[in-house]
Amino acid sequence: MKKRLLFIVALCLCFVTLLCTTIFAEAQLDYVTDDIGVLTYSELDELNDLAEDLSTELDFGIYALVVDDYLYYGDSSIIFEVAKEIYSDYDLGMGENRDGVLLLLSTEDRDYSIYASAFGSKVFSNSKIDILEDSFLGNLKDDDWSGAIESYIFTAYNMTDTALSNVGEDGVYEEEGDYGTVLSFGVAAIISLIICFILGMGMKSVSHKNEANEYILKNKINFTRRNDRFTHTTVTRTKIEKKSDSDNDDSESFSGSSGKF
Amino acid sequence: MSEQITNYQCPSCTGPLHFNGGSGKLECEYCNAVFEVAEIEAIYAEKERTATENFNAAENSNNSDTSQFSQDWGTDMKAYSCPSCGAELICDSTTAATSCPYCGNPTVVPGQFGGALKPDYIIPFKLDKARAKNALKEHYKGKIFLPSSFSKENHIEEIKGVYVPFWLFDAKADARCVFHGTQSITTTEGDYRVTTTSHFDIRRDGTLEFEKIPTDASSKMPDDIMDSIEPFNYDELKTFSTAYLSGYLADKYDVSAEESTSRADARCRQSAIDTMRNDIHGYETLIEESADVSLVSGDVSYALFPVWMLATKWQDKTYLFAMNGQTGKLVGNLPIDKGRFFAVFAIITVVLGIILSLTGIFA
Repeated sequence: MKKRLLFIVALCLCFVTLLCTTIFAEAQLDYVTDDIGVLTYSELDELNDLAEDLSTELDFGIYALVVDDYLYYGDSSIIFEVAKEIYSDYDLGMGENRDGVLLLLSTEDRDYSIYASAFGSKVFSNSKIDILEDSFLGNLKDDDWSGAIESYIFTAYNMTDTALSNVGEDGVYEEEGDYGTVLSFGVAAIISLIICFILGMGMKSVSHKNEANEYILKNKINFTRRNDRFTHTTVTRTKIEKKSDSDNDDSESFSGSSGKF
Repeated sequence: MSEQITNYQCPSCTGPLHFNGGSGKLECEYCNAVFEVAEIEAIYAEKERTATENFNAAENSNNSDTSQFSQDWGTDMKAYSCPSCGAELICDSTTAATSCPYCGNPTVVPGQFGGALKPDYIIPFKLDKARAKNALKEHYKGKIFLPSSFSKENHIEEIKGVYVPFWLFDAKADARCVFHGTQSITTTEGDYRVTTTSHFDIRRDGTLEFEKIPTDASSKMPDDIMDSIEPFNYDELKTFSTAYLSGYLADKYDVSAEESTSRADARCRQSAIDTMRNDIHGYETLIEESADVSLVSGDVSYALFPVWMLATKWQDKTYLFAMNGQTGKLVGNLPIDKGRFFAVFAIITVVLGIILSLTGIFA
């Protein structure tokens, strides 16, 4: 009897575990999720519809999540790591590489984090992510949650749209602000400066002599000691950077930032 | 004011004689007669001896005309009487050859080079004034940053052939140098580039000898300019004779050999180290760790070398050029047109930038 009871309990536990796992796996975040009610229902609906429409248009997920304390939503104490964890756990992103961007707002200590994945890491590179932050931080400081999220959605949409227009037919993204050209002209400027310096040196033909090589009697040079002695060896190892590491593996590339508002 | 100076006159017509660098002879401007240096030396030997004695007597008795200038002109001036026209020549105390500003005749003060002050050697002028002017024009050519107004507007203010006094130092150097050298081999192991560097302690000891390192002995001449017109061809060194000075300016030394030694020593030391270094081959890097150079001074000679000095003025600034009167090497710093500099910089940058962008090297 006891054994049967234990079997039933074990079976129930297995069922509950299986059910939980299934529910978790199937759990979906909306494009805009407010776990603590800083947005009204109508604001939430409007923002959610807006984010969904724009994300679908671009095939690029734009997400916003408002929580009370991010520490309850992940294993890490770092908000960026938690944002990354949520993005992965809830299978956010669109397309083959799960392209997208998530804004995580934590009201407890007024923390925020942006996590951009795959193509998002190229759109929101370190130099560009500041623009995205600036778009909503002003509203957040005024506790204008709806305005902040709306601004974030539109800015993320515009930046992604612009970035997508820079993707060539071969699918390779050329970052806005052609660094190749900038680098070419930078190198050209350095070479030009060296050339001008050499030409400028030609204007100066006067200098003190610090050697007297012309006055050495060639038949009066005698070496009394020539000794080359090996002392030791040093070995240095340098990892070879492979270009493909960063260029092709979009699924694992990400960028982001975090801070307080 | 007894005669302390000599002017070489043509034995045929008594016209002034000038030393011609091209022919290596003394020539008369009036009757075009040409004389060997030795020939004139023999004729004027007695006159020179008398002039030297008069000069020394004036120096020793302190009754020379220097005293009369000590009040008005300072003790650095001397006064002589031109043997041709009798005009009073006021010169620096070191002047050994000059021209009379009134009659234009070349004059020489043999007393400046008498006794112990007599130079051992002289390299006679080989190139004339016209060559110096041409050399200056050539010096301007191909200088992209030279302001166009500099070559167009500036004029040669002064051009003079000067025999500059030099000390010629002989020395022996004993060098002991230690260098650190490395040789590297790079291989690939998996994802790593492995560089194995072998380090060596390299020693070179040796001796070397220097002959006649020139150091200018005139405080009037900028040292860097005199250094820059080197080298002189010592194959054409001649025993000193005042006859070579006729038609040129000349000064006796006013910087002693002792004062000049340090400059020659520094050059010897560097050359000794360079010689040791140049004997080492087969290393990718070579760093001097220590160098101990002992110098033993040898003979010191006194010589006069030919230099054309050219001074030009542009925008109220004087530019000094010097040409080696034997080899024709001309030196002198030129001004840089900042506008041209930045224009050239911009053009090269834009053209090169476009080429690099098109090639996509940095894409």
